[in-house]
Amino acid sequence: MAIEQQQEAIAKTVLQGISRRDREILTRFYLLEETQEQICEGMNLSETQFRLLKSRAKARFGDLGRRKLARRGLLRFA
Amino acid sequence: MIDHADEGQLERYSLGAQGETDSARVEEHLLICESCRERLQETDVYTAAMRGAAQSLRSEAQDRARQPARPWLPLWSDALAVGLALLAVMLTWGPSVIHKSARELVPVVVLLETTRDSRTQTAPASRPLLLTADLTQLASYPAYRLEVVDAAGRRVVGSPPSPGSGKLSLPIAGGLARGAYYVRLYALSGELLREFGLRVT
Repeated sequence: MAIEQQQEAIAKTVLQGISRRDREILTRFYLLEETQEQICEGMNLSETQFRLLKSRAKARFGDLGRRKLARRGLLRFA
Repeated sequence: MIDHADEGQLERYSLGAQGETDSARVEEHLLICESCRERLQETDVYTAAMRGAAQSLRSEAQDRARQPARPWLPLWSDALAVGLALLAVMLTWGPSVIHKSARELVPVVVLLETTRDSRTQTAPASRPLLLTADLTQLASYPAYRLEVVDAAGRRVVGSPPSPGSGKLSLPIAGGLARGAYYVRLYALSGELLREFGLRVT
């Protein structure tokens, strides 16, 4: 599987693991390219909540990616 | 001191969501900062993955929405349909199976007539039997008993002594195996009153 597909699969896992509302927020940002202000106003959340959601999703993405690499023995810890 | 691009700036730059002025500032910094270029590369990977995943999930949801609506039956209708089909099968074929089983449980009555010219009776093998001796032609005794012996004279089964009001029965629930038997009618004293041939086929 190409690297891009792998990354997308990981991202899909991240999106499927969150609530429908959070998934909608991230979809609006990454796919529909709405601005932070538009999303916060439209979905009634604060800037802090928005940033926290993005941060958690990105952290989860990184975590899953590292686990995948570790399973394949490709990750070497110094 | 260099002002590195923060995560939000890199993300907006990656998504192309920055204005011209802000983009220019970020690009100027990227020219001189390898660290931020690496971070931008990671951000590009992440935003592309999220975009692709969101698109994929959205397409799947739209495909599901486009599928024909389920009939008015609820989601457990599949289990219901299987249940109904099984019921239909049982109603169609069940009675014949049940009938057959019930038939096999009903004992076969073998009437043992006590006239002198009684012929050998026949009975089906492995079916419950009810051997019934007619006592009306015999002299009256206080009690009687029936006994079944095989062709070699070995006792197979017998009834307890019974007054026998006109008839004396010996149920054999498990039936008899194929072969030749003799059904003997005894008085309580042990006197052999009659012997009947029984062929089990």
